[in-house]
This record gives sequence, structure tokens and C-alpha cells, in this order.
Amino acid sequence: MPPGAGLTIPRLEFVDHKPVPAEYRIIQGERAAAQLALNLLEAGVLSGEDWGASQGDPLTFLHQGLERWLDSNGRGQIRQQFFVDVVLSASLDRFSYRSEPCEENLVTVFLTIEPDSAGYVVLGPTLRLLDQVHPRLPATFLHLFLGALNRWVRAYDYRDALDRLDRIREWYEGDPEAEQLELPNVDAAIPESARRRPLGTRVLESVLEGCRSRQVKALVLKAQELERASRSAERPIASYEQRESLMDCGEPVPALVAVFEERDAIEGAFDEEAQGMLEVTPEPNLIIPFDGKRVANVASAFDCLATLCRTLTLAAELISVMPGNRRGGNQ
Amino acid sequence: MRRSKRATPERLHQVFAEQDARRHLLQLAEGQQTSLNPALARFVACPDWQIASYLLHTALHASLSDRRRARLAAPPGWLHPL
Repeated sequence: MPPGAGLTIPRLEFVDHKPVPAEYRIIQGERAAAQLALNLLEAGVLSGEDWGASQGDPLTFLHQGLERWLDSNGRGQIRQQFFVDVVLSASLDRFSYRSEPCEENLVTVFLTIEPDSAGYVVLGPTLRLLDQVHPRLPATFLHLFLGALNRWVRAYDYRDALDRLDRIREWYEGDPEAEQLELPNVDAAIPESARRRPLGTRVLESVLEGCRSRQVKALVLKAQELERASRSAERPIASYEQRESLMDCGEPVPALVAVFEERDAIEGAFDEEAQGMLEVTPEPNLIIPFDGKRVANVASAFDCLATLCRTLTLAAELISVMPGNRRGGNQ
Repeated sequence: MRRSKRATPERLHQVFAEQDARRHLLQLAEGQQTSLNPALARFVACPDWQIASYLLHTALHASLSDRRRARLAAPPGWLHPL
């Protein structure tokens, strides 16, 4: 088309008449992010299909890819009962900006699990239902359910409430005003059925065989499935140096508060304790350290995270069918 | 009879996307994209350019945020600079 009579818009060109790009972009830590993203891609965690949408930014690619990974590992179900964040970082200190990510930092990368707030489960109605079938079934259920969760995240239960009481008694030991101190009666809030000895695997099988209640069977089978999922991988252990870097942190925020009845003494103890929980940065519930430069290491770290996701998914499903709890999460 | 595994269009798209992402990430990880681009490479190497860009950015930002500022009339006897 011949040029018109108007003015042409000036355009910057290189000497070879190629247009000068309208935008240049340098991203801090881009090389390290690209190396990590490449290894996550090789490990099958990220999908190449997300690259187009990331507009050439490895950090966006990592973020979008991890969102997709979490979606395919039960995020929707987990969110109904648990409020946990997954953090991928080259440092355990969330507020550290001492150095930008570099290739050397990739030797130790961390996946951490940090609850935003605690989920909530009421155990009493379930224990009463199980008690009707066998007196030791409630303790067995508790053992399976809380044991499976505590292997990966912190679940606040009656044992934490009792520990808190012991600590308070120690603080006030020798204090003349200690007699006037009113402490919550946690002991009274613990049902007798929870104190019994859990059943062994063989006895449990025979109890289930003879059980006519579908609801009880479903609850116990689900708890067993949860226990198996939780045990299917080893919880990673943080090194001495990594633990040392968390010395100034507080106790981990519980991912779940397990009470026997709504507003019981255990919930009261948690409420009291929760007031001081965020005074210092809490420790993460779980730390999965891995070498971001080794594909095999990346794959095994994400296998471990997948085990946690599976455990939380099953726990969320179980909570939603436990009597006394609401589907889609408790308030 | 041996059956050959046929590549569907979806599978091909997936493979190409994977290869594309891998190639670009490898270039980024090796720092090639910055070093191959003369303008970016010079910007990274030149602190004066970085400071000038920062000053320009700050000036532009300030001029945009001060749009409501009232202009004062020039004092009598003031001459435009030549």
C-alpha cells in the first residue's frame, strides 16, 4: 500500500532495520529460578504447557506450575477443612532479603508447610458412636486419626491441653497465690473411651467383620486408609543447621484443633494458648529440604509433599463424614 | 501384530510445549538471553545507565502523581531561556 499524505509515526530501529523492542526486562534471581524450573520440569512436577502463559518469566512459570500441581493433588478437598500454605523458598526465613537467589542457593531449597489458621474437628459424637460397637474402638480411631496427622502436621489435641496445664502449674509452683488460681478441668473433658488401649490390627479386623453398622465400618476403614497414606513416606528431618536457623521461632501453629465437644476445656486451652502463638514467627509444620540442582532430589521432595497432600485429603474427607462436623468445613 | 503408538495432536502439542519450555529455560539458566541481547548486556554492565533509568522512572512517576498541581504565572520580567 503506498504511503498516505499524513505524517508517519517515528519508530526506533536498529542499524539492520529491525525494530527496537518496546520493553526489556531483567528479573532478579532469574537464572536461579530458571534452573529450578528446569529441574521441576524434568522431574515431572511442572508441565511445559504452562510456559506459554508465563510470558517467558521463570518465576511466573514456577508459580503457575505449582498452582496446577497443588490442584491435581487435592487442594480443593484439603481447603474444606485445612488452611495451610505451601512455600517454596531458598531460605527458611520468610522475611530474609539478605541475598538474592543464586545458583549456589539452589543446593538447599525448602518446601515448607505453614498453616494460615487451624482447622477444627469435634471428636465426641464419633467416639460415642464407635463405643456402641466395641469399648476400645474409640481409642483405636483416635490413635489412627491423630497419629496419621501428627506424623506430618501439628494437630492440637487433649495432650497439648494437658501439657499446657502442667506448664502453668510449674510456673505457679511455690507462689502463695497459686491456690486462688482457677485452671480449666481438661481431665473432665476427656471421655473415658479415649483413655482405653487401642485395638491391635488382628482384633480390629475381627471387630469390623462382626460390625453391622455401615457408618462405623466406613469411619474406621477411612481412618485406616488415612494411617496407611500417612505412613507411605518418611517425614524428612531438617539438619542441625536448619533447626538452628529457626531457634528464634515460636512453636508451629496447629493445622488442626481436635476437641471432644464444642467449647470444651480443650478448646478453651487452645484459645488461651492461641493468643500468644503469633507473638513470634512460628516454625513451619513441615520442612522438606532438597537439592534444587538434582532432578532425583526434586522428584523425591515432591513425592513427599504428595504424601502430605494425600494425608490431608483423606483427613478432610474423614472429618466431613464424622458426626457432629459440617461438610465443607467447621467454623 | 505390532501396533505403533500414534501421536495425537494433543500429545504433539504437549511435546512441543515441553521442548519449547526446556529450550528457553536452559537459555535463561545459562544467562544467554541477557548476554545475547546487546542492550540488556550493556545495561547490566553500566551503573550510570541504571542510575539514569532510575532517575527517569522516578521523575516520570513524580510528574504523573503531581497532575493536580496548580501552575503559577511567571513573575513579571521573567524571560524564557534561550
